[in-house]
Amino acid sequence: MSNSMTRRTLCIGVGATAAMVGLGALRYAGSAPLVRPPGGQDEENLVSRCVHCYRCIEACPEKVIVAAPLDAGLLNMRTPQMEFSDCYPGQLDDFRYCDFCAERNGGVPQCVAACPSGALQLPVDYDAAREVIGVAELDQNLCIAYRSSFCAFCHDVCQQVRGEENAAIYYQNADEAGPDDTRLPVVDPTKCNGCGACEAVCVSTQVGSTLDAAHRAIVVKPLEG
Amino acid sequence: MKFKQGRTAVAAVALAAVGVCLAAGVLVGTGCGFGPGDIALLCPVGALLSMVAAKTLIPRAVISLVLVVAAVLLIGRAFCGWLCPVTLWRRVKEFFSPVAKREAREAARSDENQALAAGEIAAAKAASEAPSGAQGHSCASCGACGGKRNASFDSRHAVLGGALVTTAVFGFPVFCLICPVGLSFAAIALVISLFGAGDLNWGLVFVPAMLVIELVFLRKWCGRFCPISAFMSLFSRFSRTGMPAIDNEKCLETAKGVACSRCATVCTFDVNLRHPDLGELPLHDCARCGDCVDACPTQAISLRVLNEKPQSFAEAFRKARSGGEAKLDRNESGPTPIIPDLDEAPCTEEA
Repeated sequence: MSNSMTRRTLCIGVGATAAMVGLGALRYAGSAPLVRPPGGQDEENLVSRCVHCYRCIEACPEKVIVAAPLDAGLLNMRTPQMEFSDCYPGQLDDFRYCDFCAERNGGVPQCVAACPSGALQLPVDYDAAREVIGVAELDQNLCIAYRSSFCAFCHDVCQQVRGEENAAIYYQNADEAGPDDTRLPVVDPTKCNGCGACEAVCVSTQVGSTLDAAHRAIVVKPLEG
Repeated sequence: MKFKQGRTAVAAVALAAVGVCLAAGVLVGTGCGFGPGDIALLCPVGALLSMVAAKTLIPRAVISLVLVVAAVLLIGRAFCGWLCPVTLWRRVKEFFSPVAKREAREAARSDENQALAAGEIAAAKAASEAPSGAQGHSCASCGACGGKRNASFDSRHAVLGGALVTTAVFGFPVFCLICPVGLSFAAIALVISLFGAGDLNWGLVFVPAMLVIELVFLRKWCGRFCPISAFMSLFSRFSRTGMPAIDNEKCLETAKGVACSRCATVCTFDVNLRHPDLGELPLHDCARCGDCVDACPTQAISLRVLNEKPQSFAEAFRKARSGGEAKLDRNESGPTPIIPDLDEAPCTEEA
Protein backbone atom coordinates (compact mmCIF):
# COMPACT_ATOMS: atom_id res chain seq x y z
CA MET A 1 0.00 0.00 0.00
CA SER A 2 1.46 3.34 -0.98
CA ASN A 3 1.97 6.16 1.47
CA SER A 4 -0.50 8.55 -0.08
CA MET A 5 -3.13 5.87 0.29
CA THR A 6 -2.60 5.24 3.97
CA ARG A 7 -2.61 8.97 4.52
CA ARG A 8 -5.87 9.30 2.64
CA THR A 9 -7.38 6.42 4.59
CA LEU A 10 -6.42 8.10 7.82
CA CYS A 11 -7.68 11.56 6.78
CA ILE A 12 -10.99 10.33 5.43
CA GLY A 13 -11.54 7.91 8.30
CA VAL A 14 -10.83 10.53 10.94
CA GLY A 15 -12.71 13.29 9.11
CA ALA A 16 -15.82 11.19 8.53
CA THR A 17 -15.82 9.90 12.09
CA ALA A 18 -15.47 13.44 13.44
CA ALA A 19 -18.42 14.55 11.30
CA MET A 20 -20.49 11.64 12.57
CA VAL A 21 -19.51 12.42 16.19
CA GLY A 22 -20.83 15.92 15.59
CA LEU A 23 -24.09 14.57 14.21
CA GLY A 24 -24.37 12.00 16.98
CA ALA A 25 -23.93 14.66 19.64
CA LEU A 26 -27.20 16.18 18.39
CA ARG A 27 -28.85 13.45 20.38
CA TYR A 28 -27.92 15.31 23.55
CA ALA A 29 -29.10 18.64 22.19
CA GLY A 30 -32.64 17.35 22.66
CA SER A 31 -35.44 17.62 20.16
CA ALA A 32 -39.13 18.39 20.31
CA PRO A 33 -41.21 15.24 20.90
CA LEU A 34 -43.40 14.12 18.00
CA VAL A 35 -46.63 12.18 17.76
CA ARG A 36 -45.44 8.77 16.60
CA PRO A 37 -47.36 5.98 14.86
CA PRO A 38 -48.64 3.06 16.97
CA GLY A 39 -45.76 1.06 18.40
CA GLY A 40 -43.46 4.09 18.23
CA GLN A 41 -44.11 5.46 21.70
CA ASP A 42 -40.82 4.17 23.04
CA GLU A 43 -38.84 7.08 21.62
CA GLU A 44 -35.51 5.51 22.54
CA ASN A 45 -36.35 2.37 20.59
CA LEU A 46 -37.70 4.27 17.61
CA VAL A 47 -34.71 6.59 17.27
CA SER A 48 -32.18 3.78 17.64
CA ARG A 49 -33.77 1.56 14.99
CA CYS A 50 -35.42 3.81 12.41
CA VAL A 51 -33.48 3.85 9.14
CA HIS A 52 -35.89 6.27 7.40
CA CYS A 53 -37.11 3.75 4.87
CA TYR A 54 -40.60 5.32 4.63
CA ARG A 55 -42.27 1.91 4.63
CA CYS A 56 -44.69 2.81 7.45
CA ILE A 57 -45.67 5.93 5.53
CA GLU A 58 -46.54 3.90 2.47
CA ALA A 59 -48.20 1.14 4.48
CA CYS A 60 -50.64 3.38 6.36
CA PRO A 61 -54.08 2.77 4.83
CA GLU A 62 -55.34 6.08 6.24
CA LYS A 63 -52.34 8.07 4.98
CA VAL A 64 -51.85 9.82 8.29
CA ILE A 65 -48.13 9.07 8.68
CA VAL A 66 -45.64 11.51 7.19
CA ALA A 67 -41.87 11.92 7.32
CA ALA A 68 -40.96 14.54 9.91
CA PRO A 69 -39.61 17.71 8.28
CA LEU A 70 -36.29 19.36 9.06
CA ASP A 71 -38.14 21.75 11.43
CA ALA A 72 -38.53 18.81 13.80
CA GLY A 73 -34.76 18.66 14.17
CA LEU A 74 -32.01 17.07 12.13
CA LEU A 75 -32.24 13.94 14.22
CA ASN A 76 -35.99 13.59 13.75
CA MET A 77 -36.01 14.51 10.10
CA ARG A 78 -37.42 11.64 7.97
CA THR A 79 -38.62 9.70 11.02
CA PRO A 80 -42.37 8.88 11.03
CA GLN A 81 -44.81 11.33 12.53
CA MET A 82 -48.62 11.47 12.59
CA GLU A 83 -50.24 14.23 10.55
CA PHE A 84 -53.99 14.77 10.83
CA SER A 85 -54.26 18.34 9.55
CA ASP A 86 -54.00 17.30 5.89
CA CYS A 87 -57.71 16.50 5.64
CA TYR A 88 -60.08 19.01 4.19
CA PRO A 89 -61.87 20.41 7.26
CA GLY A 90 -65.45 19.59 8.18
CA GLN A 91 -65.89 16.39 6.17
CA LEU A 92 -67.61 14.10 8.62
CA ASP A 93 -68.05 11.39 6.02
CA ASP A 94 -64.53 11.67 4.57
CA PHE A 95 -61.73 12.16 7.03
CA ARG A 96 -58.59 10.22 7.88
CA TYR A 97 -57.44 9.27 11.35
CA CYS A 98 -55.55 6.47 13.07
CA ASP A 99 -57.89 3.60 13.83
CA PHE A 100 -54.94 1.39 14.82
CA CYS A 101 -56.01 -0.84 11.93
CA ALA A 102 -58.42 -2.44 14.39
CA GLU A 103 -60.57 -3.82 11.58
CA ARG A 104 -57.70 -4.57 9.21
CA ASN A 105 -54.71 -6.84 9.08
CA GLY A 106 -55.87 -8.91 12.07
CA GLY A 107 -55.69 -5.88 14.33
CA VAL A 108 -51.94 -5.35 13.81
CA PRO A 109 -51.35 -1.79 12.63
CA GLN A 110 -49.98 -1.98 9.09
CA CYS A 111 -47.20 0.48 9.84
CA VAL A 112 -45.92 -1.88 12.54
CA ALA A 113 -46.16 -4.87 10.19
CA ALA A 114 -44.24 -3.00 7.48
CA CYS A 115 -41.42 -1.80 9.76
CA PRO A 116 -38.36 -3.93 8.95
CA SER A 117 -36.17 -2.85 11.84
CA GLY A 118 -38.59 -2.98 14.76
CA ALA A 119 -38.58 0.78 15.27
CA LEU A 120 -42.36 0.45 15.45
CA GLN A 121 -43.02 -2.40 17.82
CA LEU A 122 -46.18 -3.25 19.70
CA PRO A 123 -45.90 -3.72 23.46
CA VAL A 124 -46.48 -7.33 24.58
CA ASP A 125 -49.80 -6.45 26.20
CA TYR A 126 -50.98 -4.54 23.13
CA ASP A 127 -54.68 -3.88 22.88
CA ALA A 128 -55.94 -1.61 20.12
CA ALA A 129 -58.71 -0.39 22.41
CA ARG A 130 -56.23 0.81 25.02
CA GLU A 131 -53.36 2.01 22.83
CA VAL A 132 -52.65 5.73 23.14
CA ILE A 133 -50.41 7.60 20.67
CA GLY A 134 -51.02 11.18 21.78
CA VAL A 135 -53.54 13.48 23.32
CA ALA A 136 -55.73 16.14 21.70
CA GLU A 137 -55.28 19.69 22.91
CA LEU A 138 -57.88 22.34 22.27
CA ASP A 139 -56.74 25.92 21.84
CA GLN A 140 -59.60 28.11 23.05
CA ASN A 141 -58.16 31.13 21.27
CA LEU A 142 -58.63 29.45 17.93
CA CYS A 143 -61.72 27.31 18.54
CA ILE A 144 -64.81 28.63 16.78
CA ALA A 145 -67.08 27.46 19.60
CA TYR A 146 -65.15 29.56 22.09
CA ARG A 147 -64.58 32.50 19.79
CA SER A 148 -67.90 32.98 18.16
CA SER A 149 -70.56 30.47 17.38
CA PHE A 150 -71.61 26.95 18.12
CA CYS A 151 -69.44 24.28 16.50
CA ALA A 152 -69.80 20.54 16.95
CA PHE A 153 -67.37 18.92 14.55
CA CYS A 154 -64.75 17.58 16.95
CA HIS A 155 -67.34 16.52 19.49
CA ASP A 156 -69.45 14.68 16.96
CA VAL A 157 -66.58 12.94 15.23
CA CYS A 158 -65.18 11.78 18.56
CA GLN A 159 -68.55 10.27 19.44
CA GLN A 160 -68.63 8.70 15.99
CA VAL A 161 -65.25 6.99 16.04
CA ARG A 162 -64.87 6.22 19.73
CA GLY A 163 -68.50 5.55 20.65
CA GLU A 164 -70.44 7.37 23.33
CA GLU A 165 -68.81 5.30 26.04
CA ASN A 166 -65.20 6.12 25.21
CA ALA A 167 -65.56 9.54 23.62
CA ALA A 168 -62.96 11.96 24.97
CA ILE A 169 -64.64 15.19 23.90
CA TYR A 170 -67.67 16.33 25.85
CA TYR A 171 -69.62 19.56 26.17
CA GLN A 172 -69.24 21.88 29.06
CA ASN A 173 -72.55 23.25 30.35
CA ALA A 174 -74.61 20.99 28.15
CA ASP A 175 -77.86 21.50 29.88
CA GLU A 176 -80.41 22.38 27.23
CA ALA A 177 -82.88 23.66 29.76
CA GLY A 178 -80.35 25.75 31.65
CA PRO A 179 -79.76 29.42 30.90
CA ASP A 180 -76.05 28.99 30.16
CA ASP A 181 -76.13 26.15 27.64
CA THR A 182 -72.95 27.21 25.87
CA ARG A 183 -71.93 23.75 24.63
CA LEU A 184 -68.22 24.36 24.63
CA PRO A 185 -66.18 21.29 23.64
CA VAL A 186 -63.69 20.02 26.21
CA VAL A 187 -61.12 17.20 25.87
CA ASP A 188 -60.85 14.61 28.62
CA PRO A 189 -57.13 13.76 28.36
CA THR A 190 -57.61 10.54 30.31
CA LYS A 191 -59.92 9.19 27.61
CA CYS A 192 -58.22 10.53 24.49
CA ASN A 193 -56.11 8.05 22.51
CA GLY A 194 -54.72 10.56 20.03
CA CYS A 195 -56.52 9.07 17.02
CA GLY A 196 -56.67 12.47 15.36
CA ALA A 197 -60.25 12.38 14.06
CA CYS A 198 -61.04 15.67 15.82
CA GLU A 199 -58.03 17.40 14.27
CA ALA A 200 -58.93 16.00 10.86
CA VAL A 201 -62.39 17.58 10.83
CA CYS A 202 -61.68 20.77 12.80
CA VAL A 203 -62.95 23.73 10.78
CA SER A 204 -61.16 26.51 12.65
CA THR A 205 -58.84 27.21 9.76
CA GLN A 206 -61.47 26.88 7.06
CA VAL A 207 -61.49 29.76 4.63
CA GLY A 208 -63.41 32.68 6.03
CA SER A 209 -63.35 31.53 9.61
CA THR A 210 -59.74 31.98 10.56
CA LEU A 211 -57.40 34.19 12.40
CA ASP A 212 -54.95 33.02 9.78
CA ALA A 213 -53.73 30.51 12.34
CA ALA A 214 -50.80 28.23 11.59
CA HIS A 215 -52.60 25.20 12.98
CA ARG A 216 -56.06 23.94 13.77
CA ALA A 217 -57.81 24.68 17.06
CA ILE A 218 -57.65 21.07 18.16
CA VAL A 219 -54.38 19.29 17.57
CA VAL A 220 -53.00 15.95 18.75
CA LYS A 221 -49.89 16.49 20.87
CA PRO A 222 -47.29 13.94 21.89
CA LEU A 223 -47.66 12.19 25.21
CA GLU A 224 -45.64 13.64 28.02
CA GLY A 225 -42.50 11.88 29.14
CA MET B 1 -27.30 0.38 -26.51
CA LYS B 2 -24.15 0.86 -24.53
CA PHE B 3 -23.84 -0.37 -20.98
CA LYS B 4 -23.55 3.14 -19.62
CA GLN B 5 -26.84 4.25 -21.10
CA GLY B 6 -28.43 0.97 -20.12
CA ARG B 7 -27.51 1.16 -16.49
CA THR B 8 -28.39 4.83 -16.29
CA ALA B 9 -31.82 3.92 -17.62
CA VAL B 10 -32.16 1.05 -15.14
CA ALA B 11 -31.21 3.27 -12.19
CA ALA B 12 -33.52 6.05 -13.38
CA VAL B 13 -36.45 3.71 -13.85
CA ALA B 14 -35.85 2.17 -10.41
CA LEU B 15 -35.73 5.57 -8.73
CA ALA B 16 -38.81 6.74 -10.62
CA ALA B 17 -40.68 3.55 -9.67
CA VAL B 18 -39.87 4.10 -6.00
CA GLY B 19 -41.06 7.69 -6.37
CA VAL B 20 -44.33 6.65 -8.02
CA CYS B 21 -44.98 4.10 -5.27
CA LEU B 22 -44.20 6.73 -2.64
CA ALA B 23 -46.64 9.16 -4.26
CA ALA B 24 -49.32 6.53 -4.68
CA GLY B 25 -48.79 4.99 -1.26
CA VAL B 26 -47.98 1.55 -2.61
CA LEU B 27 -45.88 -0.32 -0.09
CA VAL B 28 -42.51 -1.09 -1.67
CA GLY B 29 -40.33 1.07 0.53
CA THR B 30 -37.13 2.71 -0.61
CA GLY B 31 -33.57 1.49 -1.00
CA CYS B 32 -33.22 1.75 2.78
CA GLY B 33 -35.86 -0.95 3.24
CA PHE B 34 -37.14 -2.44 0.05
CA GLY B 35 -39.84 -4.97 -0.68
CA PRO B 36 -43.59 -5.37 -1.05
CA GLY B 37 -45.85 -5.86 1.95
CA ASP B 38 -44.37 -7.60 4.95
CA ILE B 39 -41.28 -8.69 3.01
CA ALA B 40 -38.51 -6.17 3.40
CA LEU B 41 -34.87 -6.18 2.51
CA LEU B 42 -33.01 -3.68 4.68
CA CYS B 43 -29.97 -1.80 3.46
CA PRO B 44 -27.01 -3.81 4.84
CA VAL B 45 -25.43 -0.80 6.51
CA GLY B 46 -28.79 0.33 7.92
CA ALA B 47 -29.40 -3.20 9.21
CA LEU B 48 -25.96 -3.35 10.80
CA LEU B 49 -26.23 0.12 12.34
CA SER B 50 -29.73 -0.34 13.73
CA MET B 51 -28.67 -3.58 15.39
CA VAL B 52 -25.59 -1.93 16.86
CA ALA B 53 -27.69 1.02 18.07
CA ALA B 54 -30.41 -1.16 19.60
CA LYS B 55 -27.80 -3.65 20.86
CA THR B 56 -30.02 -6.55 19.82
CA LEU B 57 -30.36 -8.89 16.89
CA ILE B 58 -33.26 -7.82 14.69
CA PRO B 59 -34.60 -10.83 12.76
CA ARG B 60 -35.36 -9.04 9.51
CA ALA B 61 -32.05 -7.20 9.67
CA VAL B 62 -30.15 -10.47 10.04
CA ILE B 63 -32.06 -12.03 7.13
CA SER B 64 -31.37 -8.94 5.03
CA LEU B 65 -27.66 -9.13 5.77
CA VAL B 66 -27.53 -12.79 4.77
CA LEU B 67 -29.39 -12.10 1.52
CA VAL B 68 -27.23 -9.11 0.67
CA VAL B 69 -24.04 -11.07 1.31
CA ALA B 70 -25.33 -13.88 -0.91
CA ALA B 71 -26.13 -11.40 -3.68
CA VAL B 72 -22.72 -9.77 -3.36
CA LEU B 73 -21.02 -13.16 -3.65
CA LEU B 74 -22.88 -13.63 -6.92
CA ILE B 75 -22.76 -10.21 -8.53
CA GLY B 76 -20.36 -8.17 -6.42
CA ARG B 77 -21.06 -4.48 -6.29
CA ALA B 78 -23.51 -4.58 -9.21
CA PHE B 79 -25.92 -2.54 -7.07
CA CYS B 80 -23.48 0.37 -7.33
CA GLY B 81 -23.37 0.22 -11.10
CA TRP B 82 -26.98 -0.47 -11.88
CA LEU B 83 -29.33 0.66 -9.12
CA CYS B 84 -27.74 3.13 -6.74
CA PRO B 85 -29.25 6.60 -7.19
CA VAL B 86 -25.79 8.07 -6.69
CA THR B 87 -24.89 6.59 -10.09
CA LEU B 88 -27.60 8.84 -11.52
CA TRP B 89 -26.37 11.94 -9.72
CA ARG B 90 -22.90 11.18 -11.05
CA ARG B 91 -24.26 11.14 -14.58
CA VAL B 92 -25.97 14.46 -13.95
CA LYS B 93 -22.71 15.91 -12.64
CA GLU B 94 -20.90 14.56 -15.69
CA PHE B 95 -23.50 16.14 -17.94
CA PHE B 96 -22.94 19.56 -16.44
CA SER B 97 -19.16 19.47 -16.29
CA PRO B 98 -17.55 21.35 -19.22
CA VAL B 99 -16.57 19.07 -22.09
CA ALA B 100 -13.05 20.50 -22.32
CA LYS B 101 -12.45 19.93 -18.62
CA ARG B 102 -13.82 16.43 -18.81
CA GLU B 103 -11.71 15.59 -21.81
CA ALA B 104 -8.58 17.01 -20.21
CA ARG B 105 -9.22 14.94 -17.10
CA GLU B 106 -9.77 11.80 -19.13
CA ALA B 107 -6.64 12.47 -21.20
CA ALA B 108 -4.60 12.85 -18.03
CA ARG B 109 -6.06 9.66 -16.72
CA SER B 110 -5.34 7.89 -19.97
CA ASP B 111 -1.72 9.13 -19.93
CA GLU B 112 -1.27 7.94 -16.39
CA ASN B 113 -2.74 4.52 -17.11
CA GLN B 114 -0.74 4.11 -20.30
CA ALA B 115 2.47 5.03 -18.50
CA LEU B 116 1.70 2.45 -15.84
CA ALA B 117 0.86 -0.11 -18.51
CA ALA B 118 4.05 0.62 -20.42
CA GLY B 119 6.01 -0.05 -17.25
CA GLU B 120 4.32 -3.37 -16.70
CA ILE B 121 4.68 -4.38 -20.33
CA ALA B 122 8.40 -3.58 -20.25
CA ALA B 123 8.78 -5.56 -17.06
CA ALA B 124 6.84 -8.49 -18.45
CA LYS B 125 8.86 -8.44 -21.68
CA ALA B 126 12.10 -8.37 -19.73
CA ALA B 127 10.87 -11.30 -17.68
CA SER B 128 9.87 -13.32 -20.74
CA GLU B 129 13.16 -12.65 -22.46
CA ALA B 130 15.17 -13.69 -19.44
CA PRO B 131 16.73 -17.14 -19.66
CA SER B 132 14.11 -19.71 -18.77
CA GLY B 133 16.28 -21.24 -16.07
CA ALA B 134 16.59 -18.06 -14.07
CA GLN B 135 13.25 -17.06 -12.53
CA GLY B 136 14.12 -13.79 -14.18
CA HIS B 137 12.09 -11.09 -12.66
CA SER B 138 11.44 -10.07 -9.12
CA CYS B 139 9.44 -6.99 -8.30
CA ALA B 140 11.90 -5.69 -5.74
CA SER B 141 14.83 -5.68 -8.16
CA CYS B 142 12.96 -4.16 -11.05
CA GLY B 143 10.74 -1.33 -9.90
CA ALA B 144 9.45 -0.68 -13.40
CA CYS B 145 5.91 -0.91 -12.15
CA GLY B 146 5.26 1.25 -9.12
CA GLY B 147 4.13 -1.64 -6.98
CA LYS B 148 0.63 -2.35 -5.75
CA ARG B 149 -1.49 0.79 -5.75
CA ASN B 150 -4.56 -0.47 -3.94
CA ALA B 151 -5.24 -2.31 -0.72
CA SER B 152 -7.77 -4.80 0.62
CA PHE B 153 -9.00 -2.18 3.06
CA ASP B 154 -9.12 1.51 2.34
CA SER B 155 -10.68 4.77 3.42
CA ARG B 156 -14.22 3.49 2.82
CA HIS B 157 -13.68 0.81 5.41
CA ALA B 158 -12.46 3.47 7.82
CA VAL B 159 -15.73 5.37 7.24
CA LEU B 160 -17.71 2.17 7.84
CA GLY B 161 -15.77 1.64 11.07
CA GLY B 162 -16.41 5.22 12.12
CA ALA B 163 -20.12 4.78 11.41
CA LEU B 164 -20.27 1.64 13.55
CA VAL B 165 -18.37 3.23 16.44
CA THR B 166 -20.40 6.46 16.49
CA THR B 167 -23.62 4.47 16.21
CA ALA B 168 -22.62 2.35 19.20
CA VAL B 169 -21.70 5.44 21.21
CA PHE B 170 -24.72 7.57 20.41
CA GLY B 171 -27.28 4.81 20.11
CA PHE B 172 -28.80 5.60 16.74
CA PRO B 173 -27.79 4.99 13.10
CA VAL B 174 -25.77 8.18 12.69
CA PHE B 175 -24.63 7.55 9.13
CA CYS B 176 -28.24 7.13 7.93
CA LEU B 177 -28.75 10.86 8.57
CA ILE B 178 -26.31 11.76 5.80
CA CYS B 179 -26.32 8.70 3.56
CA PRO B 180 -26.61 10.00 -0.02
CA VAL B 181 -28.69 6.96 -1.01
CA GLY B 182 -31.23 7.66 1.74
CA LEU B 183 -31.09 11.39 1.01
CA SER B 184 -31.84 10.69 -2.65
CA PHE B 185 -35.08 9.01 -1.67
CA ALA B 186 -35.74 11.82 0.80
CA ALA B 187 -35.28 14.31 -2.04
CA ILE B 188 -37.82 12.43 -4.16
CA ALA B 189 -40.28 12.38 -1.24
CA LEU B 190 -39.79 16.11 -0.66
CA VAL B 191 -40.40 16.90 -4.31
CA ILE B 192 -43.54 14.75 -4.25
CA SER B 193 -44.91 16.59 -1.22
CA LEU B 194 -43.89 19.93 -2.71
CA PHE B 195 -45.95 19.34 -5.83
CA GLY B 196 -48.59 17.15 -4.20
CA ALA B 197 -49.36 19.16 -1.09
CA GLY B 198 -47.47 22.41 -1.68
CA ASP B 199 -45.33 21.53 1.30
CA LEU B 200 -42.42 23.97 1.24
CA ASN B 201 -39.82 23.43 3.94
CA TRP B 202 -36.14 23.71 4.73
CA GLY B 203 -35.59 20.08 3.86
CA LEU B 204 -35.81 21.12 0.21
CA VAL B 205 -32.63 23.13 0.74
CA PHE B 206 -30.90 20.86 3.21
CA VAL B 207 -31.24 17.54 1.38
CA PRO B 208 -29.93 18.70 -2.01
CA ALA B 209 -27.20 20.68 -0.22
CA MET B 210 -26.01 17.55 1.56
CA LEU B 211 -26.06 15.64 -1.73
CA VAL B 212 -24.01 18.35 -3.40
CA ILE B 213 -21.48 18.43 -0.55
CA GLU B 214 -21.07 14.68 -0.65
CA LEU B 215 -21.09 14.11 -4.36
CA VAL B 216 -19.52 17.29 -5.72
CA PHE B 217 -17.15 18.58 -3.03
CA LEU B 218 -16.08 15.19 -1.74
CA ARG B 219 -14.61 13.75 -4.89
CA LYS B 220 -15.10 10.06 -5.52
CA TRP B 221 -17.71 9.38 -2.88
CA CYS B 222 -18.30 5.81 -4.09
CA GLY B 223 -14.70 4.66 -4.02
CA ARG B 224 -13.36 6.65 -1.09
CA PHE B 225 -16.18 7.31 1.35
CA CYS B 226 -19.23 5.13 0.86
CA PRO B 227 -19.58 2.62 3.72
CA ILE B 228 -22.16 0.63 1.73
CA SER B 229 -19.57 0.07 -0.97
CA ALA B 230 -17.10 -0.79 1.82
CA PHE B 231 -19.48 -3.41 3.20
CA MET B 232 -20.03 -4.96 -0.22
CA SER B 233 -16.32 -5.02 -1.01
CA LEU B 234 -15.75 -7.11 2.12
CA PHE B 235 -17.60 -9.94 0.41
CA SER B 236 -17.24 -9.17 -3.29
CA ARG B 237 -13.59 -10.29 -3.04
CA PHE B 238 -14.88 -13.86 -2.94
CA SER B 239 -17.06 -13.46 -6.01
CA ARG B 240 -16.03 -15.24 -9.18
CA THR B 241 -19.16 -14.61 -11.20
CA GLY B 242 -20.47 -12.00 -13.57
CA MET B 243 -17.20 -10.11 -13.93
CA PRO B 244 -15.60 -8.85 -17.11
CA ALA B 245 -12.74 -10.93 -18.45
CA ILE B 246 -10.13 -10.16 -21.07
CA ASP B 247 -9.37 -12.38 -24.00
CA ASN B 248 -5.58 -12.14 -23.82
CA GLU B 249 -5.19 -13.09 -27.44
CA LYS B 250 -7.19 -10.08 -28.55
CA CYS B 251 -6.02 -7.59 -25.95
CA LEU B 252 -3.58 -5.07 -27.40
CA GLU B 253 -1.42 -5.16 -24.32
CA THR B 254 -0.88 -8.90 -24.09
CA ALA B 255 -1.08 -9.72 -27.80
CA LYS B 256 0.88 -6.80 -29.17
CA GLY B 257 2.55 -5.19 -26.20
CA VAL B 258 0.83 -1.85 -26.83
CA ALA B 259 0.11 0.20 -23.71
CA CYS B 260 -3.61 0.80 -24.19
CA SER B 261 -5.33 0.51 -20.79
CA ARG B 262 -8.51 1.95 -22.23
CA CYS B 263 -10.47 -0.34 -19.88
CA ALA B 264 -8.85 1.27 -16.84
CA THR B 265 -9.33 4.78 -18.17
CA VAL B 266 -13.07 4.43 -18.70
CA CYS B 267 -13.81 2.49 -15.52
CA THR B 268 -16.40 4.43 -13.49
CA PHE B 269 -15.31 2.66 -10.34
CA ASP B 270 -11.54 3.18 -10.62
CA VAL B 271 -10.74 -0.46 -11.18
CA ASN B 272 -7.95 -1.45 -13.55
CA LEU B 273 -9.06 -4.67 -15.19
CA ARG B 274 -5.84 -5.17 -17.20
CA HIS B 275 -3.48 -4.38 -14.34
CA PRO B 276 -5.50 -5.23 -11.20
CA ASP B 277 -2.80 -4.06 -8.81
CA LEU B 278 -2.56 -0.64 -10.42
CA GLY B 279 -6.17 0.52 -10.13
CA GLU B 280 -7.17 2.89 -7.36
CA LEU B 281 -9.52 0.14 -6.22
CA PRO B 282 -8.84 -3.59 -6.38
CA LEU B 283 -10.47 -5.79 -9.01
CA HIS B 284 -13.13 -7.06 -6.61
CA ASP B 285 -14.66 -3.60 -6.52
CA CYS B 286 -15.87 -4.17 -10.08
CA ALA B 287 -19.52 -3.07 -10.24
CA ARG B 288 -20.30 -5.16 -13.34
CA CYS B 289 -21.11 -1.91 -15.11
CA GLY B 290 -19.77 -2.98 -18.50
CA ASP B 291 -18.11 0.31 -19.42
CA CYS B 292 -14.85 -1.51 -20.16
CA VAL B 293 -16.68 -3.95 -22.45
CA ASP B 294 -17.92 -1.03 -24.53
CA ALA B 295 -14.61 0.80 -24.51
CA CYS B 296 -12.21 -2.00 -25.49
CA PRO B 297 -10.81 -1.14 -28.95
CA THR B 298 -10.44 -4.82 -29.88
CA GLN B 299 -13.62 -6.15 -28.22
CA ALA B 300 -11.43 -8.33 -26.06
CA ILE B 301 -13.54 -7.83 -22.92
CA SER B 302 -16.79 -9.58 -22.16
CA LEU B 303 -18.86 -10.18 -19.04
CA ARG B 304 -18.61 -13.86 -18.12
CA VAL B 305 -21.03 -15.93 -16.11
CA LEU B 306 -18.14 -17.75 -14.47
CA ASN B 307 -14.75 -16.17 -13.99
CA GLU B 308 -11.38 -17.72 -13.46
CA LYS B 309 -9.15 -16.65 -10.64
CA PRO B 310 -7.88 -13.15 -11.46
CA GLN B 311 -4.47 -13.12 -13.12
CA SER B 312 -1.74 -10.60 -12.68
CA PHE B 313 -0.70 -8.83 -15.86
CA ALA B 314 2.65 -10.64 -15.90
CA GLU B 315 0.93 -14.03 -15.89
CA ALA B 316 -1.52 -13.02 -18.58
CA PHE B 317 1.28 -11.62 -20.71
CA ARG B 318 3.35 -14.76 -20.38
CA LYS B 319 0.42 -17.02 -21.23
CA ALA B 320 -0.60 -15.00 -24.26
CA ARG B 321 2.99 -15.10 -25.49
CA SER B 322 3.59 -18.78 -24.97
CA GLY B 323 0.17 -20.41 -25.43
CA GLY B 324 -1.06 -18.17 -28.17
CA GLU B 325 2.20 -18.00 -30.09
CA ALA B 326 0.89 -19.75 -33.17
CA LYS B 327 -2.16 -17.58 -33.29
CA LEU B 328 -0.09 -14.47 -32.82
CA ASP B 329 2.13 -15.37 -35.72
CA ARG B 330 -0.82 -15.98 -37.92
CA ASN B 331 -2.29 -12.65 -36.94
CA GLU B 332 0.89 -10.85 -37.64
CA SER B 333 1.35 -12.42 -41.01
CA GLY B 334 -2.30 -12.15 -41.97
CA PRO B 335 -3.48 -9.78 -44.68
CA THR B 336 -4.65 -7.01 -42.38
CA PRO B 337 -3.34 -6.98 -38.87
CA ILE B 338 -5.90 -5.72 -36.46
CA ILE B 339 -4.73 -2.24 -35.70
CA PRO B 340 -7.59 -0.52 -33.97
CA ASP B 341 -8.02 3.12 -34.67
CA LEU B 342 -7.39 4.57 -31.28
CA ASP B 343 -8.07 8.06 -32.57
CA GLU B 344 -11.66 7.13 -33.03
CA ALA B 345 -12.08 6.35 -29.39
CA PRO B 346 -13.44 9.49 -27.74
CA CYS B 347 -11.16 11.70 -25.71
CA THR B 348 -7.90 10.06 -26.69
CA GLU B 349 -5.31 12.77 -26.73
CA GLU B 350 -2.78 13.26 -29.53
CA ALA B 351 0.35 11.99 -27.92
